[in-house]
Amino acid sequence: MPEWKPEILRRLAPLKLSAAREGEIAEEIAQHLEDRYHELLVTGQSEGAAFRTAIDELKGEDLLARSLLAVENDLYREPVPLGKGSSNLFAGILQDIHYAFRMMRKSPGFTAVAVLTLALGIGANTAIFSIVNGVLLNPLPFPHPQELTLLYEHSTNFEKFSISYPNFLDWQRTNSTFASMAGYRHEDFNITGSGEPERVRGGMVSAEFFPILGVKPLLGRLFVRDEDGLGAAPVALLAEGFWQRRFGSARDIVGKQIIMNGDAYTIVGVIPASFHFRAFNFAGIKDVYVPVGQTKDPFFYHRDAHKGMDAIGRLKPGVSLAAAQADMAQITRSLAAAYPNADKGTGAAVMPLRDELVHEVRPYLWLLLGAVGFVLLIACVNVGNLQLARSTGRAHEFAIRCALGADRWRVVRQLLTESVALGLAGGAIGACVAAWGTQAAIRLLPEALPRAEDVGLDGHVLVFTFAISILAGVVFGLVPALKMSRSGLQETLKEGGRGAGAARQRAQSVFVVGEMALALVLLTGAGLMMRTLARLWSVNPGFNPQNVLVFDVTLAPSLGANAATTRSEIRELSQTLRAIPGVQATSVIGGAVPMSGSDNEFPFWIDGQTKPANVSEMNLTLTYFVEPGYLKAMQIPLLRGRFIAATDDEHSPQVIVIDENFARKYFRGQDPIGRRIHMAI
Amino acid sequence: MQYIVMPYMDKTASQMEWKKGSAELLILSLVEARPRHGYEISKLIEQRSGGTVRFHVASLYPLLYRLESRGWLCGRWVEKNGQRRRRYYRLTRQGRRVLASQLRGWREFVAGINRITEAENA
Repeated sequence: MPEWKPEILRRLAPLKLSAAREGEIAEEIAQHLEDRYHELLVTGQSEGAAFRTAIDELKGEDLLARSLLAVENDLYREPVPLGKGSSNLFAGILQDIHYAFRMMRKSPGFTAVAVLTLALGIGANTAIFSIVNGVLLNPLPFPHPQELTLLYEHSTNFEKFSISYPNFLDWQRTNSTFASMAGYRHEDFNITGSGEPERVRGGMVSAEFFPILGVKPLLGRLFVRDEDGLGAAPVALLAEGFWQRRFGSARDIVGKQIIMNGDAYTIVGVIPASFHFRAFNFAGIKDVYVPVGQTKDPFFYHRDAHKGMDAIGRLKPGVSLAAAQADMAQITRSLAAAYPNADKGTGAAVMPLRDELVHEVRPYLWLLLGAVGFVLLIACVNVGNLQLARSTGRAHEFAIRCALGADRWRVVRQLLTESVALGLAGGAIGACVAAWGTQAAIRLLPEALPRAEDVGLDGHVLVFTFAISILAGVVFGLVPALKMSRSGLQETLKEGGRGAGAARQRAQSVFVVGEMALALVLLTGAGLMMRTLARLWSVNPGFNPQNVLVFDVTLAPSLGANAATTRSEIRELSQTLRAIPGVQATSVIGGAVPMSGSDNEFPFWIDGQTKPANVSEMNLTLTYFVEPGYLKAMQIPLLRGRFIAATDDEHSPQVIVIDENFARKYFRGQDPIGRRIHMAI
Repeated sequence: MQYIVMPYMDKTASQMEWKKGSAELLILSLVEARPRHGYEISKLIEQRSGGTVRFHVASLYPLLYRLESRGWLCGRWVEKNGQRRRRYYRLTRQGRRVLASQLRGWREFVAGINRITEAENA
């Protein structure tokens, strides 16, 4: 049987067609010549004469190439000359990419399914990584953030609690490891005077607070140390957002006065909106800042009072966290010795600022990233399976490439280029989806996530997206590529393009099994999480929050601090609220909103037991100040005895109601009704 | 498409030109009824023209590929029992419109030529 293909391929060589196209043309023309040859044999020609006549159909050495040149010029060009490897690698890769995009255009259905599947997986990963990057990985937006620490007090009973102001002043004065230290606490203010009265969120901060965080005022100046104390002239800083909203960004605001809680504060500057500082007890955007040393509550200045103030410190350059902790331990020991009643058993907790800000969300974010990683893996397996199924139709193409000299690596590279191109297309769409999705999610949950303002698609996220797009391409393309490159050349050609069926089916089976396993893991995890949430929802908290409204009340400063007037105002408010139609029960409360973080804890001892030597050795109990209507409003069942009644007032003996846990813990089976507790309020 | 009439060329040259001008029409006509492969097309042209018109491989296949790239033909590998797979060409919808237009033009051209030659020989 004459060999027609070498003759044909020699004539096609100048065209530098792709191996696939070249093979296709050679096969078709070889068949034509074969048919012609057999026809000539039938007419009685000798084999030699028939061969020469048939081959003459090609009309010389270059006519076929010249005729095809115009038609094939822009089509089916070979990515890299077959069998040649590294000599023109770069050009080869460019041609691979060109060919890969052409293959994508040729199969729009497959391309759309693969790209959208990958976009979903990559988009989910990009969205979660942008949060992980913004919250956990990026440095804090302050100068030398590694030097910043948060400080709390701690005791044997409590891991951390707010700092007493006198203690803080001693810490500030006597430490040797901090370049600077500042206290901060949250305080709401009533704005009156010109314009609508308004309740605003305020931060009471030390004069050192803004300099520690490297904040420069947008207008005016920051607080100076002399302003941070009782008796100093009242001054305030406005946040940019509040300044814009309330004062229309008036440039001449500095030096003007603002009435807060009935006092006139001179505005000394405006803090830029880019400044965000969220910490425990200091969450949410602030509208105004006032020096913490100007706190009006006299109790704030008691050494045994912990009125919600925490502190931030900047370590001296080169000082380690351990050295600072040792320094603070020494200081708190000295304070405990000097003030045993207030400070015995109390220490200082020093923690890196970033860890403190994000430690609660860190495990959940990594878990989420792991979960969406699984989603991407499932998407890869899915697309890999599609790719494998599609490769059946291309087995012949690659067999011909190999027959013409392409090595295995060359075939793998071409297929991987196609997979990576799909991955990158999916990544591009996924990044757009992630950009939109992340911002939408953050807008919905602005307070739930620390450092939400730092979340976005920055360079790191785009590099991550690019990397996982390539990785996804390699992951889902590698198995089909290797399977394809291992297909027996002879078998494939004999099978006429059906490819190595058994091997492909095995690989597809493995893919399907893997996909099912991954999906099962993900579904199980999601199912467990749903079940956990459902159970959490169904947990009885001991009260019914349905239709209960809670709001803050501040008495007018003009009433002064007279106890009788305050009681009378509060009772009048209670009566007014009870008279509103539809209101079933009301109670003026102090710190009695469960799980809101506004709880107060007070030291106590049981009557009949030895009184502890000092307050720091007493037990602490969560204490709610309530009116008789509280139990009805919260629908809390009364187990024994009676609840607080209207007759329990300033003239009657003091009464207290305890909960089941308190009774079990401190009275251990004895009847608590009628027993006495001493509260160190 | 342009048809150029060269009355003073010798017989071989004029036949070549006519073939060139009509090649597309011939191929499109032959695949109008049903898809055919390249060798079948070339044989039909040869047989039906009584051997007057023949396409050799080096011109037939480039022409088929051109018609395919224009979207007039669609080639597809078909495997039949007991045979090697062959590439069959079928007429596309666009090809069908082109064929109708070319046939009209060709008939007008031939009628025009006939009118001229009959008048001269009458």
